[in-house]
Amino acid sequence: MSMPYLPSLDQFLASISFLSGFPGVLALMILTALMVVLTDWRFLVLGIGVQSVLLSILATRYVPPEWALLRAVTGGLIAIMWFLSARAIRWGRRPARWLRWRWPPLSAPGILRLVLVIFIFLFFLARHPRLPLPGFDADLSLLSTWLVAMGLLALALGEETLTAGIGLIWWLEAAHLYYPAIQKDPFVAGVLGAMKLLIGLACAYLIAAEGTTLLLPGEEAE
Amino acid sequence: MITGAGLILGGLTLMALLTYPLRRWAVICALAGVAVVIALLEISLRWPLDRVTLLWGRTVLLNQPLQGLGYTLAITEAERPVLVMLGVIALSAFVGAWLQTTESSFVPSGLAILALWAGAVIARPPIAGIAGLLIASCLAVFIVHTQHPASIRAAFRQLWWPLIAFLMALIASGQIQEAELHPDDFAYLQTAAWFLSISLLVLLAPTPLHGPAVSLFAHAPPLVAAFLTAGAQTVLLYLTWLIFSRWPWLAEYIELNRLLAAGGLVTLLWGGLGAMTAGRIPRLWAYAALHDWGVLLLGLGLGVPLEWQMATALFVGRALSLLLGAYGLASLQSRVAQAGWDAAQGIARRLPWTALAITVGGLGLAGFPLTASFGPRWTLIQILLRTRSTWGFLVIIGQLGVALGYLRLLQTFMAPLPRARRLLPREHLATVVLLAAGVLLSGFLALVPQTMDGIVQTVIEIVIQSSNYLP
Repeated sequence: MSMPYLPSLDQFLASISFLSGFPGVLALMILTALMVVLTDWRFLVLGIGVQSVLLSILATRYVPPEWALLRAVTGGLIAIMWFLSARAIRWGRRPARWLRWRWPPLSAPGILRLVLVIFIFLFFLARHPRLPLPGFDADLSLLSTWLVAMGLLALALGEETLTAGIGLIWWLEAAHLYYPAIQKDPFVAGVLGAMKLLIGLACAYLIAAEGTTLLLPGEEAE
Repeated sequence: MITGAGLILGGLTLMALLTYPLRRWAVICALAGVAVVIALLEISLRWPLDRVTLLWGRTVLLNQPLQGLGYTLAITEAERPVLVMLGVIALSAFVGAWLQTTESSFVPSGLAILALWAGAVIARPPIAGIAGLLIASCLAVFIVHTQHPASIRAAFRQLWWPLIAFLMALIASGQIQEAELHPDDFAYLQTAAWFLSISLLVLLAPTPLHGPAVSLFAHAPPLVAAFLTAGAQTVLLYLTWLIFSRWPWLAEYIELNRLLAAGGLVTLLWGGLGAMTAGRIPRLWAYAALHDWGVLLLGLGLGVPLEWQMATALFVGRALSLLLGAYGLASLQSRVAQAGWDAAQGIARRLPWTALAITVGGLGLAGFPLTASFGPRWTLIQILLRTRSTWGFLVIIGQLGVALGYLRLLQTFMAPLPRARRLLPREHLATVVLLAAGVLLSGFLALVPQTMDGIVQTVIEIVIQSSNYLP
């Protein structure tokens, strides 16, 4: 009996190659839309991690797998930072404003978010808007535009750093998807990853700071 | 051999790390910050650029470039006035830091931000400068927020425009490199011009992009707001000039001057309207600063050959008025917890220099006579009335809005002092000296405008002449 072995990075990518095509793009678009609508902190943090894995798989069209892996690690680190910040100030253990999501029925802000996401989706179907990015695959151009649009929506509707900050991360992800397509510069790819970490860190700090202002009297941060 | 870039950036970063443990002792921390900035000013103003200088047995050559990964950090003659301006802004902010009790890590974070701004000014290509501005904004988050939830939202908003600008500039830089490889395809240049112009416009943030700037003034500690705004705008104006000098073809694709003029007009009017109706003193200050920024954008939009001369003159007056207003507000907030209109009633009777500094700083942002901004503002209005009279009248209307807001505040300051506030502690001697020096300097520049003209002429000559040697 042969010993079980861990597949190499290339073998692993080959086994999930279907996700580097349009199914991956579609999955990311749906996940992003769900993150805008649901705004549950646990779902958001998990979503950031899953998104970074999917985006890394898509990025292998233009960059070596090792670079894509670093990208997934960066996304994972941001998810961990935000999770720790949200937990440190006991988010989720008491009735915070945006955590009162129930199923069913959807809250009024939840319905508003859903309607706006549907409007933007219909606009994309009808008008096919794309960022003017020459030399970029059509489906990735669509995904980048969708990420930018959802980022703008998250910023416009998000009251807290957690729900709005994700918009900034999506803008960076869109640029990180596009830039390697035109320039294979490891330094710039590194800078983009570092910027994502920095923005993630600043947001994680603000999530914690925001939470301490909302703590109930006598309650302390963990 | 130590390079000039290594000395300035490394020195500022090292001192930021060393002053961080001292943050509990506000006076020592502020003094350390002041000493570091004086050293920066000494290096920027007096050290020879192209001759070796000895520093503790090590040789330093200021204009020796620091290169790596396709990027260069080098100090040339053109950057010296900008570094001096940044140094003066930081010096004024750190001197006033002890007036403020809310944020103890202001000096160490301020030194780190100063290092990033200095890096943004001396980095080539300019995209690295925009990245420096973004990193500085990420650091600024830590000093902008206080215990108030609104200040946290204000801190978060500081990330918006630098991030968008960085992404746009990054895409533009990729397109420019592609254009160099495909000289016959103008689509790349057109896309680059489009993205680069949006990047600059977003950073310059005319109305309706003014939200983050207004919330910074309205909710952050006053000295932090003045330091971050004046410093970042110094770097931004220099980067704008640098980008247009380096890539003159940009003007063929985008008429940025017209956009700036239109944006400036809307901004200055919106600022005037906001100041007239403001219900809190920091908000009045915020809209006055917005109005003044609109006037500066309008000055930039005048076009060659007046634009940079006018913008520099307006900016010197703006920086002084901003910092003076910040001193006054910091002094007020250290004695009165509330910032509403009622809290200011009768303050002039207990804190006369504080009331005077707030009023002179604010009226300076309106370009009122006898304040620092009056000279350049008057020149701008005269030019506009001769060339585009409607614009000139709109500037005067905006100015009147801000002036009315501050005259209303002055009336509140002069009202009888409520009985409950009769025992309000008076200003310390050091505070009085600082506020009086600011008020007198503002008045001096208004009465002897030739002094400011001299500074502006020198800056313009140095920067423009040095543009011939851009790498």
